[in-house]
Amino acid sequence: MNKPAFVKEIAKIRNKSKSLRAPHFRVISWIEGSPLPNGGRGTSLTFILPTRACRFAEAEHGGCSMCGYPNENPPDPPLKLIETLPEITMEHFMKKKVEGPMVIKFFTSGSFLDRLELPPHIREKMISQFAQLEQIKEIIIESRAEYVIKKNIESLLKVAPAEKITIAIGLESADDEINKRSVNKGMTWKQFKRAVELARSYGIRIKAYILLKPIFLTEYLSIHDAILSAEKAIEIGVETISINSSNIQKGTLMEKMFNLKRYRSPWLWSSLIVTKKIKQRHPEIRVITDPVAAGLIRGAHNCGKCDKMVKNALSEFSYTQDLSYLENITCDCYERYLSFLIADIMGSGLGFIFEDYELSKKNLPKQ
Amino acid sequence: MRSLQTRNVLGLSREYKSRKKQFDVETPALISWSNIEPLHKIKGKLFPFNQEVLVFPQWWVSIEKNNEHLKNKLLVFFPKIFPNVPELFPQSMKEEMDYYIESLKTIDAQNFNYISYIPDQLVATEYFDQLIELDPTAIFILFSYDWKSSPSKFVETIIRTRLKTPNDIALGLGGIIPPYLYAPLVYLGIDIIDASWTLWTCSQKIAYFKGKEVLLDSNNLIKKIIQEREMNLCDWNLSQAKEEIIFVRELLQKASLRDYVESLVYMDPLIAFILRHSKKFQELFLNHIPITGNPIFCPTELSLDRPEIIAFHERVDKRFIPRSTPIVVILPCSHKKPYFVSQSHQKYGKVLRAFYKSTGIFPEKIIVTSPMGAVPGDLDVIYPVAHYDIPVTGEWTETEIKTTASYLAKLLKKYPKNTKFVIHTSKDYEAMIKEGFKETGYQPFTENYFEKPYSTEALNKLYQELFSAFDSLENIVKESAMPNVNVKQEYVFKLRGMANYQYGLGVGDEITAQYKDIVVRGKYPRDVAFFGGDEKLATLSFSTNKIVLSTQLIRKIWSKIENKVWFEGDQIKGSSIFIQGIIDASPEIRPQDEVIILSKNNKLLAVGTAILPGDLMKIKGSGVAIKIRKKVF
Repeated sequence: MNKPAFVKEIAKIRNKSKSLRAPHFRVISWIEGSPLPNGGRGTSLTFILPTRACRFAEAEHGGCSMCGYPNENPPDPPLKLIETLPEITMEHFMKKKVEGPMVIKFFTSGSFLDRLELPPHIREKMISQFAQLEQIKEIIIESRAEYVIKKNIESLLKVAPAEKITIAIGLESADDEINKRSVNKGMTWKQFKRAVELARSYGIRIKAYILLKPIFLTEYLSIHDAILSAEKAIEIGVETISINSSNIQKGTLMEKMFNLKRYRSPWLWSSLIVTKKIKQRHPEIRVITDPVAAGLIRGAHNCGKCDKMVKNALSEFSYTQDLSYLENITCDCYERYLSFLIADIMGSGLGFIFEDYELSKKNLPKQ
Repeated sequence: MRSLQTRNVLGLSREYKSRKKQFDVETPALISWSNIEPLHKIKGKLFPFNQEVLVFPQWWVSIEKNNEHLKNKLLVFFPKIFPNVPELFPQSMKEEMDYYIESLKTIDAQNFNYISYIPDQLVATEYFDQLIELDPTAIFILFSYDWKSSPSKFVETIIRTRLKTPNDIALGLGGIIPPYLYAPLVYLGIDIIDASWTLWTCSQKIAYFKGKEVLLDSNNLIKKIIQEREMNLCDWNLSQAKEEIIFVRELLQKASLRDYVESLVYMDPLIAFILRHSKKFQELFLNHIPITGNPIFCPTELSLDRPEIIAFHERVDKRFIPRSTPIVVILPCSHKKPYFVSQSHQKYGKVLRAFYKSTGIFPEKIIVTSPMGAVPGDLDVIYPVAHYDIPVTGEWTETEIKTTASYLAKLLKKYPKNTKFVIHTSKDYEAMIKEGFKETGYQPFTENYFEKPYSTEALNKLYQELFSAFDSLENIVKESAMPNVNVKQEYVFKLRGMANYQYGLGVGDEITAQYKDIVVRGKYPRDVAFFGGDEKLATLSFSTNKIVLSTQLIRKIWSKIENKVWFEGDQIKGSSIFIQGIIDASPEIRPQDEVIILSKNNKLLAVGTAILPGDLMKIKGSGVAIKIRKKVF
């Protein structure tokens, strides 16, 4: 298969960033509110595990255009560390002392089901110790679609009931052209569908990550693509949709374009519109929107005045799944945002020109 | 689907009108994202762009299905993935363009009115031609850089793209475009402008007022005006934008867009830049300048570069030959146009006629002026000679002197060296004329510069000088001159000069050679008719500033006419000729030119008036190219 020309650029950047990596060897965890699979509300405990970097990102072509996570993964973590992960995570869990229904999330910044990252016996041990607890209602693991295979699923089901497991897969877009020619995802819709159908046949839930505004897409088109992708994913049985607004991570092609003023991270309004639209059309689906670095120039942001408000509304909504939190949010910049959507399509298609103008206007005398 | 047709050409700008009733579009137009219809159709609606549109925008709908309701809409097919970053991905852009063109083919785009896109770095490549083949209604050029930061590249790109765009495809541009840039952009050849910038500025509390950007603070007077009219800022800005584009359309119809653009140079340095820089490419589109038009006002030095003037001189260079009188008078211009009706020129005319009656020589005139330079006296009815206005102060700038002198020198060189040049002008012109003669190396016979060249003493002096020039002539020349009793002789000179200018070198001479006693009927300001015996030869109209040769005359002399168009068939039906039927056309044809239509076998079929310039007739397009005046059987 011929790779598009821009992939060479990703590989170059990935190679360059290898020397600058600052990996950590710690397990990071935090607690936040989270909706439960049965519709209730609970608490989630998220673990970031220091496994080796995503195998796809470490490949010759450099992986996805927006992903900078490999920079934080240790290139070759000691086996000793990996083997103690079940104990460490349990320790963290005990320390937090959370009551009530809980969701456990294992994020490896790669694939939980990849045996090079976590040997099967470790991951089984880790899952089983939490699955046994009555309090834990859901365990979410992340994986690329190619590791969602019969063997891996059966190994999971040995230690936990299917209704407690959710596999989160990065779909990014349901459009193969976007995945290939903008994200460099290395996955087609057909492959994703296979993984979803396989997991569903065992009764395992699937959460799909949808990327809002990959590079080379206008804001307008990215909104549209996100909504269409969600529709398509829901149709084949995905149960949770997570809208991931692009944020500019270090050592990525997206960052390079950002530095050249050729990319603007999405507006929070876009996240809001997408979230609202999907939830309105499919009330039974969990829609999670938690934009990373919201309000910062490297994350999804609006004018600066309303960022916090929109961000809070989005996280309230993600927790409660109550659409009323997303109503009646207004700001002066909403009109500007709409005109931006239009102007971006008719103009350069990249949006940077308007950003520049916006910044220069700040030098005008204040009213 | 190409649904537009050119109604009017003015330099790079074209005025389009839709051919179809259901699809009602006229350009220059603004576009708003909402319904992709011209703005004047959206009444009072601010953001018709709503979330419903977001989910199912027209351009995303799967087109293969039977979407009859989209047939009369203007759709936008935007490339899905758009790596418009030439410095990083020179190759990716081309890959995506391949995909884009391929996808347009698969959705059968030709059946819709649609906007397509091309990135600026690919307009000079074969991608542009491929896109043209897919028959878009309009093409938007997407710049990968802020074009205000490198305007020279921008101006060149637009001009070159415009010149190879067929006459039924519009060009569009988006980006940071405040209303005062509409006219300069239309002048450069842009037909459709994205209006969203005006909406963007209103969210920044910036109002447009008489073209200027005004930041509204609490006690702003303009804010009060807006409130008094019960409008909100977005409505206001949109209405300002609409007014501006309607005004530009009006100016385009009146062929006076350039005047307005010049008046805007103080708004933004960019506008002055566009005018100056487009001059470099002027010779590429000189034949797009109509040969008739409205008065032009030339207040600044920028006016020296006006394409109308340059186009006039270019044609004078090619198609003017002197009557070869042994004596030539150089006269100043007059405020009233055409010159020959002004008081001063009527006085000069009396002197010249008196001289003519006694000697048989009617000296040719050269009129010196700025910014037209030097104009042959016989061509003083032609556009823009009879149409310009300047603030005459008597003080000329260096550039004006230089330009006028070079035009004068060019004209003088057409005369034989032994011609007696009698200079009779006001003092202001001394520098220019001296400079002009210096350039040619010719010597004037006499030079007289007066405070008032039309005063009685000055006129007496002119009479004397003419006779002394006559006396210095050799006897052979004197004897060959025969007085002609026709008092309206001057109109015959105009007939000869203008026929040469309009129809081709030698046409006028052929007429005066064939018809010795041309009878002139009528007088300024009414149309003047020329008769050779019983036969009507031509009409000179002072409203169109054209001379129109009669069909009988054209039948006799058509082989000399240079404005030729070759038509596919052997017979012409209807009153106009469409571009599809044209095999070839002489590139010198300018809009409004009188042309003759020939069959493939060089048989004369008809005479008509060109709507399009000759080179545009040859680019594959559609619509009316020539209005037929008379068919010749």
